[in-house]
Amino acid sequence: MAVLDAIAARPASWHHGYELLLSTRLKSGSMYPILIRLCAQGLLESAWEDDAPPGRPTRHLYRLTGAGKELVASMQSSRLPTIRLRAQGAT
Amino acid sequence: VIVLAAVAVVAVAIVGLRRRRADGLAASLLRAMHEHSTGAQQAWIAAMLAEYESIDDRRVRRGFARGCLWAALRHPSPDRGTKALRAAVVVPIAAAGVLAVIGLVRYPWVRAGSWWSLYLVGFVGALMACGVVWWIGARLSSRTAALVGITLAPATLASSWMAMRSASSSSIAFALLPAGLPAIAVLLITHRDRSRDRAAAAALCGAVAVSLLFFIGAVATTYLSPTPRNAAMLAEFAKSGAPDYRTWVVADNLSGATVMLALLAMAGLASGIIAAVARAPRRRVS
Repeated sequence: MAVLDAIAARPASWHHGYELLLSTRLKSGSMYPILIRLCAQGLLESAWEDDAPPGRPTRHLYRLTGAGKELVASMQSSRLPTIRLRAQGAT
Repeated sequence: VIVLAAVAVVAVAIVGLRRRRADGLAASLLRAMHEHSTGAQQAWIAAMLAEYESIDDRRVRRGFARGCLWAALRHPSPDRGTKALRAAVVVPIAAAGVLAVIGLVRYPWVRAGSWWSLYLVGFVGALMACGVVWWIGARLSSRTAALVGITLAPATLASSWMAMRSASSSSIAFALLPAGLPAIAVLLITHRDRSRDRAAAAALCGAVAVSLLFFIGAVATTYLSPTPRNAAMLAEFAKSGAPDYRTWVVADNLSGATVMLALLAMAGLASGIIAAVARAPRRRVS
C-alpha cells in the first residue's frame, strides 16, 4: 500500500528505488520484495534509466502500469467515504 | 582453546573484510549472488546494486545493502539445482534431530538434571545456524556446495566412527580431524579457479557439512555399535549415578556430539576462512 501510494503521488513519473525507500520509510529488505511482487502482478513496470548523470551507475526505475493505475484509483475511491466521514466527525 | 581460537579467527576475518572493503560484507555477498543467479533474480539484484552504488552516505549504503541481501535471499531462485541443494540440508538436519530425539526418549536418564535443557537449546541453535549458513553458501555457488558436501562426507563419517570406537587419546584426534577438512575443500575448489565467492561457499558449506555429518556419524555409531568399555569409562559411569552403563554412554556421547556440532562448525569455518584468505582473493568479486 505504502509503495503504491508513493508511486501514485506522481503516477506518470518514473521512480528510483531509493527515492521510494525515503518516501515510504520502508527498509530495503521490505521494499524490494514488494516491488518484485507488484512487478510480477503487472501493477508496476520497470526500466533502466537512459540518461544517468556522469559518474553515477544506471539505475532501475519503476512506474505504475495501466492495471496499477486502475487499482490505485479504485483504492482511493474506496477510501474516500472514510475520509469524508472523518471530516464530518471533525466538524 | 580451540573454540576461542576459532571464534577469534572468524571475528578477525569478518572485521578485516569490513575494514578492507569499502563495500562491506553484505554488498560483497550481494555481488557474488548476482554473479551466480540467473534471469529475473539476477536482474533484481542488479537493480539493487545499481541503487546501492548511487547512495553516497556509507552508513546508509551498508544498511541498504543488508536489506537487499535479505530480500535477495528470500527471493525464490529460478535455479533448480540451488533450490534442491538448499533443500538438501533439511535431510541431515532432520536426521540429527531424529537421532537426538531417539536418545532423549529411549534413555530418559539423559533428561535428568537441568543441564540437558541447556544442551537442547544449544543443539537447536546450532542446527538453525547450520541451515542458514548452508543456505547462504549454496546460494553463492551451488556447484561448490554440492562438491564440498559429497567430498567431505566419507572422511567426516569415517572420522566420527573412529572417534567413537577409539581409546580416549586417539578419539580426541579423530574428533578434531574434520575441523581441517573445510580448509582442504577450499584448497581443492580454488585449485584452478581462485574466485572469492567459490572459496567462501566452500568454507561455509564445508563447515556445515563436517559439523552436521560428524554429529550424525557419532550418534549413529553410539546407537548401532556395541558399547565400548575401559577402566576410565567404567569409573566415570560409577560416579554418574546412571541406571546402566549403556544409558551413561549414550548420555555422554550425545552431549559430546552436541559440543562437537558447535565446535566443528566454528573451527571448520575458521580453517576454511584461513584457507580462503590465503588462497583466493586477489580478484574482486564482480
